Amino acid sequence: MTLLGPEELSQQVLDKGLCTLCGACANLCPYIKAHNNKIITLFTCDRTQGRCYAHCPKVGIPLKNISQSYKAQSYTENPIGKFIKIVKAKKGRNASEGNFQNSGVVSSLIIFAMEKELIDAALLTGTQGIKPVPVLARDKDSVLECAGSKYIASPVLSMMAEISDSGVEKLGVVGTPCQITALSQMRQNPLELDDFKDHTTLSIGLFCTWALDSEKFIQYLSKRTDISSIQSMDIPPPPAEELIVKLENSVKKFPLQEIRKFKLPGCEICADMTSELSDISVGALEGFDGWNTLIIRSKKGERLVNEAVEQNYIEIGSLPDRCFDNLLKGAGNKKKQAAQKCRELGMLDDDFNKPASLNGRQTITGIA
Amino acid sequence: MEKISCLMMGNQAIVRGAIEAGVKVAAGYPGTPSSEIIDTLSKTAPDIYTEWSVNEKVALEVAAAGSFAGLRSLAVMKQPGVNVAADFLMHLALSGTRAGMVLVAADDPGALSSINEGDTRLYSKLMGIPLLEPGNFQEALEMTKWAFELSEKLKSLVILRTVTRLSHASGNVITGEIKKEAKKAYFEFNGNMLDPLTGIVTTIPVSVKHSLQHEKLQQAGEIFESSVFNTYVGPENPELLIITSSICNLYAKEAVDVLNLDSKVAILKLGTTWPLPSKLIQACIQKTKQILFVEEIQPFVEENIKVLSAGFPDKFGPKAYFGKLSGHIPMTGELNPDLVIKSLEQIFTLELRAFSSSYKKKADKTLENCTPAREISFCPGCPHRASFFTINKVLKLDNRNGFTCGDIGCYSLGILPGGFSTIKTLHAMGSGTGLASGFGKLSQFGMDQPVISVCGDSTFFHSGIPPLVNAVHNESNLTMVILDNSGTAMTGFQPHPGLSTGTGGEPAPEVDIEQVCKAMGAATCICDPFDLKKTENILLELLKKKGVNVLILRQICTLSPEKKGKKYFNILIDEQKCKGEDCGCNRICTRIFSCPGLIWNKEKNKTMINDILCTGCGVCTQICPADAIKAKAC
Repeated sequence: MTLLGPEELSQQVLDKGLCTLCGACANLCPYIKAHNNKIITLFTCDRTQGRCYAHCPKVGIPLKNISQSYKAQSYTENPIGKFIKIVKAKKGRNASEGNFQNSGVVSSLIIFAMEKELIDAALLTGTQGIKPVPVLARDKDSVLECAGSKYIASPVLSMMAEISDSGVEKLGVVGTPCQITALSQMRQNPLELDDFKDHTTLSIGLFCTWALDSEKFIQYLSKRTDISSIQSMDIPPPPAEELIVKLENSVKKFPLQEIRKFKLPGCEICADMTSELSDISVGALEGFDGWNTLIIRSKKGERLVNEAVEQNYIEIGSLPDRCFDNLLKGAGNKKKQAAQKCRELGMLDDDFNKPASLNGRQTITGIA
Repeated sequence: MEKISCLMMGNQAIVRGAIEAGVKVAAGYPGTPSSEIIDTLSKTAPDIYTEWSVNEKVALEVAAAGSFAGLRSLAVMKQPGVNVAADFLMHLALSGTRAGMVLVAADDPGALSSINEGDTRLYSKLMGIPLLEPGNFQEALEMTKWAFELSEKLKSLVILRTVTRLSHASGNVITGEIKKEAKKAYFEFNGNMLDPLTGIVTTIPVSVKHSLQHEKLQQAGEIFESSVFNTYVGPENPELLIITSSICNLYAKEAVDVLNLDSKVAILKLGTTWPLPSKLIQACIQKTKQILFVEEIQPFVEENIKVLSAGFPDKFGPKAYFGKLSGHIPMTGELNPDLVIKSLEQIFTLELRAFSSSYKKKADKTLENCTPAREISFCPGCPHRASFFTINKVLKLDNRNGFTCGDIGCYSLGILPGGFSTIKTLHAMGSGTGLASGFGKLSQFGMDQPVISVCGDSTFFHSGIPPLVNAVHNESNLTMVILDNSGTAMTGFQPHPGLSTGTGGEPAPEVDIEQVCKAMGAATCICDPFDLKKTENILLELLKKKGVNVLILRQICTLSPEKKGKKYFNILIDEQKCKGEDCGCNRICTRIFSCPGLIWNKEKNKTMINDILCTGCGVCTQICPADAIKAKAC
């Protein structure tokens, strides 16, 4: 793949509405900023190569290459990616209580990793009202405040530049598949910068099929309910076709058909449902209330899970075959649909990653 | 008294002419190329009442009051100002004047300092006002002086039209005596209502006044037939007659001289161009078979002489007419001797070229390394650069495709890359906020883009207030950003009503922009545009708010007399931190922010400070993401 620059990022992704807000391009330079859950290009930049493009998970990042170099393991055609072990899991009896989406396994693992000093801070998604925002959690309470699914896209990785200057040496990151893909690419130092340092020591990926556009979705909800009283949201596994919103004193249900209108178009070209490049991936488990599916992918992830089980931070059990089959089917379908969409958009064409024309680039020379 | 010959700018010669004529009241609004007239009068003639008025219409009214009260008066403005004054101008032309009153209108052919290319002469015809056009510096003085006499004789306003190259170039001028006459101002109104000197002053009854106006014009035409300001130079029966006026007179003379055509070409220079001296013109045209009109902006003389020729076919006879309408003279832009030479070459099929293309190439090459490759931009330390940087950034962050309606001032440069191409509409003074008021009412048709208008402090008083009132009353949604740099900066720091000094530097009551806006009901706040983050945060919030918001970005112009040469900070580059092209910033300081005080040193791969140009405003220290630009207090 050719590593290009901001002009091509705009043309191939941002202008086409294919950005899924991982945030990996943002806040690295004075030109691309994450603001109010949007990626904004402030002034024209005429660089022919940039980290903004190199990090973007929507411009044909070769999963195979990242997988090989980063994890020293080959990419698998298995639709849920390479894994060591797949189990069902939930928070253990020694873990803290919180307002968890399902079983609290992600929060418990992060808190455990902090206590074991595998990480000294974690980059998570918190909320302001119902709007998701990136949060750098440095203690247990901050981690617990971030518990729960958000369903709304938020540029979590836009905090990476700030974190690299913040003194955090061992960072844990929890993210959606696009965020974990971009994180993996970031960790490759694709532009081979001398001063690059990889601070990430743990990545926990979430299962995801799509995320919602913050502005449109919040606008929709605010017309139908008092958004300030929203406590949590949940989309139960099929066949339930609804979004359940828990309010202070009641519950409201919205048909999923309506909600899907606000999903980000860029999610349709995503081929990764289970965050294949993480150390550990976590997602829902059909038919077992209070449990999650947990995919252990790296040795580091395996060690963490084993220790967390030993010390009762999480509890695991074997995953029923039916659930495993359904997971493969779901992940496989996502790959097929993504490939089809990418083909339609010309993203699989040989000349897709071609440099943009220099015409129209704004350059004001100071003094030559 | 001994007559003195002095080197004078055209505008100074006009001032001298007015003083010699005994002018008592002068009012204007600053605008290039007219500004030096009121400036010079206010500094040199303390016994004359001189005023920078709030706008051109008011200036014309203030001057007219002088005339009505029996004092010779002068109104001064650039051409677009005549458009502003046009409403009163039409009525004044009809009502008539008393003591001599002259409107000096300065046109700007080629729009050197304007954003249009208007021709005041058309107003003379449209409104029936006698028109004079000086053709050299001496005439600038003498015609100004004579214009007052003419006005008094006709009881009509007289327009004296100058152009940039006459107003701003200099020539030798022999001065005359100054008329010293003590006059008591008194407005008489008890006489017969139709008596121009003692009755009420008005345009009614229109039928009577309109007929009277035409009589005055006819009288003017007769006077013009023998005016010394219309000159004929050249052979008795020339092969070609150039008919010209204004500074084009000098271009025509030079062209004829360069081409050695003195024996073939005659020049009829008209100093009185409305109404045209038809008998004089007939007589001159009869001498030749070919006529070339040399004039700037509109084919005013050309068209009107053709109308005359249609009225008197036997006297004019069949002639070959060359000019703008035949393509021999460019329809737009400024003229110069080369362009006149070019058209003469065409008519006489001469070989000599005005200038060869190889000469131009050579000249361009010689100049290549003499000037920095830089877009037109704001001065170093200009508050507008900081303001537009933030406005541009905020509109992008807001992410609703918001835009900025521009206005007239130095900040009009906001339309260019040097102003980050922030301005998307640019028209007349005050029009930015008027347009914004309109855009802000289009939400019922689905428009969801936020709109900002920018307006200077002087422009605010000139014509920014009515559209703001309009926006408030009609519940429009807009954010008006008043770029308050504490003076009419572009034209040379003339005072305006927001300042505590008057036209001559005397103390004057100031009108507080913030209080005015608040009194209108606009949510108003003030910020220093040099504080980028604070301005950004305020503006981001204002864009989310409905209704009419005003943000006054107040920071005095760097070139203002109070601030010029004073540095707040010494700006230094931390060369350890500046990584040049290796930084992810892609030279935002020299490539985008582009203050001329910042230099890109390609060899060192670092940004440097041009200590001579840098004014030490410190804004660039907030731009650098690597914190490599440091400010030390002076």
